Parts: sequence; structure tokens; C-alpha cells
Amino acid sequence: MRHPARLDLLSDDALLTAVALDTRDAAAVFVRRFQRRVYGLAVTVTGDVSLADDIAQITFERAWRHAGTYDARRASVTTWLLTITRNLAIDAMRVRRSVPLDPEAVSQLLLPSPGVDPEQAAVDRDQLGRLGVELATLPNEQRRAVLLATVACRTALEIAEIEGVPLGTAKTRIRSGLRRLRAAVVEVPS
Amino acid sequence: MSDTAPMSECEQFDLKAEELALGMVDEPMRGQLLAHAANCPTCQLLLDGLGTVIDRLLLVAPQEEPPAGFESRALDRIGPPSAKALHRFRLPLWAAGFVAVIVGATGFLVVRQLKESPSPAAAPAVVIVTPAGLRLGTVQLVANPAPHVLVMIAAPRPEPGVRNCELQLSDGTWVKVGSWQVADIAHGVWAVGVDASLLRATAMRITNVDGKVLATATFI
Repeated sequence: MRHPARLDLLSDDALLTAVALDTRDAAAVFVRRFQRRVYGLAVTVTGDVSLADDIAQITFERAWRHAGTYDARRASVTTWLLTITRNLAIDAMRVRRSVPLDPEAVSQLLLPSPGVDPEQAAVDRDQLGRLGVELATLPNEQRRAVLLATVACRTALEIAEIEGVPLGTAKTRIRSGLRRLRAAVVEVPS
Repeated sequence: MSDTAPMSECEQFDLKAEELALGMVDEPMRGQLLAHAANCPTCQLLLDGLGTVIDRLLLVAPQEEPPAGFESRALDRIGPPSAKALHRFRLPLWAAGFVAVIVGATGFLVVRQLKESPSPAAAPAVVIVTPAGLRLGTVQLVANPAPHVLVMIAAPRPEPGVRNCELQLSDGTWVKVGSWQVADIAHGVWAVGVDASLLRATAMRITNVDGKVLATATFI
């Protein structure tokens, strides 16, 4: 069995492989490494700590079950894991759409999370790449709309209410922002 | 072209592409748009690009420390089975892909203030079986971070109707703790906050609106 201290040194991909091999120590390291991200996203989307706790647990269970199908060419482990979290949270919110988003939470979307390891922050910046640069240059209202739609999983109608703008304006902000970000990361044929 | 000329499929797709990529388009339009993209490389490229952006933006989501005991609760669900977990039923791989989460509207708010309480382990998940003996999923009574019932349904049948979740007390009486629309949960997980006393329930059953028992699970 691997020593947990050594598992800490594994890359995300290698650690996920170890999880797929049913190594309990690897699973512990995996949960420890990603729990703040997974739980943080679940809380952001649901606004409910109990529900977020369940969603985060199910996310790790789902990751363990499907670890063998992870494809590093399609997404990083972090992105893959957070996509699972988001999908689970969206399903949960389909019946709880009335939960309002705390204005403070909206502001938090635009700030770095406290307590994030500087080394991890550097990895994130690297993974975001041009997308991160382009996100920073979006007009503030577009950036807010895009992050509310993608990270907080709010509908255009909800974003219109949160931002106090007409629905059409909210849709335009989401659309314009996402198109600009897409152009930054994807080779768009002319 | 006149002002009233109908839009092409690509133009319609273009108008809805962001909402589709964000998962905000319902059926049957969602299926129609995806079918178009499957036959249109340009629209598929647009959708893939938006999907890449949306997924990658999750990296900027706020991070937050989960409640005390989260790691052990998560590990109870994964990894090689511990002695306790040997009693559990794991959803088969074919079913795991259908898992979604849904929560009753009433439960969690009531007990949220208890989240800081000490965290005894959750009771093991037990199998929910139909009268015909088919495994429908699992149910678990969870104490932390707030008392709740967690139901994982693996039956892939998006049909209309309401399902009630009832718990049996030690004196044999049944208490309804919540209900869900089958069509809403698709195939997934349903949970509802309950009074802590209900964590000592002896059994759970799922009934329809007529009170017919569709499935049961026994905790002890």
C-alpha cells in the first residue's frame, strides 16, 4: 500500500488513477485535495449547507465510480470533478429555484477565495490560461452575468432580478460575455 | 429576404446556443437543438466551444471548508468497503449515470442551525426493494450536518406521478416525511430534512398518491 504522504505528491491525474484502483488511502487524499472546491461550488449553487454537503459527498462517490472513464484529454481532473458537482447541483435546484442568492455570494464570485494555496492558485491560472486573461478584461456587468450563469448556475431571469436589469439585457450580457470568452480559447473559423 | 422569412435552423441554434450549453433549455427544444448540432459541424463547434468555456470557468468558483466530519462521510461512500460498508448496496454502474439530486422544499431550513453539532456516523444505506424484489436504490438516515433522509433512486423511468416517502416508527406507525414528482427527479437522489427522532425509524416505504406501496426498505 502506498503511504499517504507519498500520495500527496501525486499529480491529480495519477491520484485519480489510484482512486480508481480502490486504494482507500488515495481516496482520502483525493477527498482532502478537492473537498473545498467541490463543497464551495455546491454551496455557491444551492445556498444550502446541508444540501451542499450531500451533493459534495455524491460528487466524490460519482468520481470514484467513474474514475476509470476519466479522459485527461477532455478536461483536467478539477474541471471534471466540478462539472459533476455542477450537474448534481443543477438537478437539485430544479425544484428549489426560489432560493435567493445572497448578494454577498455574488461579490464573492468576483474575488479569490480566502485560504487558497498560492501554488494551487498558480495552477488554476495556468489552467484558465487565456480564458482567465479574457475574463479579467470583460466589462464588469458581463463578467458578473457570465459568472452568475456558469458558476452560480442562475438562469437569465434570475440574473435579471439580481442585477436589476431587463431580461433581454441579462441575456445579452451572458451571450456577449460567453462569445468573447469562447473566441479566446477556441479557434473560430472565419 | 423579407422580415417575416423564417429563420434557418442554424440561426435558431445560434440564438439558443448559450442557454443550451448552460443546460437551461428544456425538452423538447433541447433534443431538437442537439439533433441539429449533431448534423451541423458549425453549430456543434459553437456548442463545444461554449461548453469548454463554461466547464473551465468552474475553476474560479469560490472554495469553502466543508462541515466537520465531511471527509469521513465522503469516504464512507467510496473506496474499498469497510466493515460497516459491507452492509451497503452500491448502485450499479449502469445506474450511476442517471443519478441526480433533488431535495424536498421543506426540510433543510428547519434544522440548519444544528449543523455545528457533533457528528456521529450516518446509518448505513440500505436497499430499497419493490414487492417484486427489484432493487430500486438505497435509503440512508443521516444525522449530520443536519438530520435528513437520503434516497438514491436508480430506476430509469421518467413517468408522471407523485411518490411519498414514509418512515415507520418503533411503535409501528408510519409518518410521511416528504414527496417528490417522479418526472422532476428523473433518476437520482432525493433528500428531506427530518426531526432527529425520525433517525431511529425502523423502515421506509415509498407510496403513490393512492397509498399503494411501491417499494420498502428495512433499517433494522
